[in-house]
Amino acid sequence: MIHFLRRRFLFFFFTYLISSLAIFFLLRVLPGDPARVIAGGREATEEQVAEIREKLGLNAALPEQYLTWLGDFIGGDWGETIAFRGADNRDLILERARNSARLALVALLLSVPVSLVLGVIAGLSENKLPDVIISLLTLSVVSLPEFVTGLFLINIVALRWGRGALAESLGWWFPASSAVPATASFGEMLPALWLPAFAATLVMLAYISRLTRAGVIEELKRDYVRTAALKGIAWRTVVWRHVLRNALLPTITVIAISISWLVSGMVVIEFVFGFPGLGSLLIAAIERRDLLLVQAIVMVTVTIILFSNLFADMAYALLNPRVELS
Amino acid sequence: MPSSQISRSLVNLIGTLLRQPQSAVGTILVIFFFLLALFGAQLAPYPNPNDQSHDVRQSPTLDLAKLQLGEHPFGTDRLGRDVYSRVILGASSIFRIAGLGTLVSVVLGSALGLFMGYQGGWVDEILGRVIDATLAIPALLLALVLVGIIRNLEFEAGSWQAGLADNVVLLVIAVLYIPIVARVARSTTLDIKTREFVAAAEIRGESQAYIIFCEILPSVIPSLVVEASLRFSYAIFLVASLGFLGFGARPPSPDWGLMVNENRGGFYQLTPWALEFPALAIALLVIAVNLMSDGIRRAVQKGE
Repeated sequence: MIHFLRRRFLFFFFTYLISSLAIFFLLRVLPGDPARVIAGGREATEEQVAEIREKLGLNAALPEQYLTWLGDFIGGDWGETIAFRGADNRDLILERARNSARLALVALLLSVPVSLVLGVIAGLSENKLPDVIISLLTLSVVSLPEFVTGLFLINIVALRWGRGALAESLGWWFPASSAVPATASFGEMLPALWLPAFAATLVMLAYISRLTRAGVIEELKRDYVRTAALKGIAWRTVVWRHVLRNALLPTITVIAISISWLVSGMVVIEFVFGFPGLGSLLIAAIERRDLLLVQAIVMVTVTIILFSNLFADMAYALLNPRVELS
Repeated sequence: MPSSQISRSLVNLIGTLLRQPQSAVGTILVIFFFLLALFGAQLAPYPNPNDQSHDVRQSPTLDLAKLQLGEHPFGTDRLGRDVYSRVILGASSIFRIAGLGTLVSVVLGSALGLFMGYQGGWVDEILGRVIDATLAIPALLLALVLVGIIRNLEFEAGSWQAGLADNVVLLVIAVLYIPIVARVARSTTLDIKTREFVAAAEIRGESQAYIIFCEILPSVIPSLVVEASLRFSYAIFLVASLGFLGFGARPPSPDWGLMVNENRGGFYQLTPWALEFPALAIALLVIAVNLMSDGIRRAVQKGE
């Protein structure tokens, strides 16, 4: 297990190094003057360009620039935004990341139990009717781009059903737009979170349930399952006590991997619903050509993904003592 | 491999695809969209996507009477443009960008992967680790950053070349998928290079290029075909998403994702069909390509 974890830690640091190098150089290798691009292109005055050049330390050698930049990032100095005047990159990103985390939390709470149940049902009834229905459902949902499902939810659920008798009798319905103030508390945000979270759930649902299905099918074919069944243990007990316990273990890794999918999906979903999260901030930053903000957002996202993968590996290693053998 | 053999295995593959209902539906739909992409300009009632069929200033709100079949099967958008024609014309750009992007990434990625797998040693080790590391960044995020940076370059140069925005997405797809294809080609090559016929060629004293392209490549092609079809389905998805986010084609273009974006929000109440038909086209194409690539994977695995 120690060996496994050491390898994962090494991979973590190497990946972090490579991706930070890539993110750094993508900005620095721009033909022309990065300081001028950041200052606003041809309209910028010479003084503005010189000032930014000085502030970013662009006069130093490239390796030194990289180390300074990485050190500043790890130390928490992420620079100032140009697009959102008067704000600090770090405050802005942390606030938006908190909002995205709330959305992701609701999405995970909705999607993980549902997709596990669907995956287990499909796996236990391989190639029978429930499996076929669930497989067709997940296949068509995974195929749809997030913005199509998102707009569908807004147009059908929020707008059309929102005027129906059910919404009227409840006195509350899902809002069509999730453009809440970025500083709102979780309680204030919650009504606006359900629909985007449901759209994100649809993205995750297919991945998690398909992998769970495969895990259950594989586990059912093991010898110990047949032995237990032949010993006369009730099938229900075999499934609950043995099959599910072993089949659901890899799901931890699956959920960690799907966080990367969730990040991509959430960029689109936040844009569709107008939700003030990290993804919509990224799009705004690219549109307003604020490359320093873009750089910081991508670094934060990569950090989150790499840490979640690392934690999943550690959790898996702790729960599964066989890991050290492989 | 002689060309007759290639065309025979292609016919075999299509035959296998058409025999299963799921992949048959997918394949037929993909072929249908491909024909639209090829002959869209001849089929569309309004070959110019920006033709306004009526003056919007005279009748700003569109009534459903305008939706009569024949005149405007899918209605018109708020600018009076025929949605039916625009959906037909939009097929060609999504096929061109996703198809060419996939082609470039498959050609370059498999060359890289074959080289890495055959060469082995520290070159393979370092490149392999770098590929693993780049795959840790979510594809859409990387695509957005690349598009953002390339847009800045174009701003810097101050030149607005027509159609450059489309090629940005093509370039981004190629860059994103080269490492993924390379990884697949590499792992298959590692398996193939231990076979006897490779050792025989080495003993004969063949050149490295001959061994890679004439001995190993033919055996790697099946897994490359599977990967290419999978990449194509992701590429379609990515082109549509980038178009929707406003980072793909530029406004007057009949890009499906862009059309969905232009007609959402308040305009949806006014002209729902201007959003629904391009969204339906995207959904159908993505599902069809997925079903087809699923079928290709199963057909190739069965053939092995």
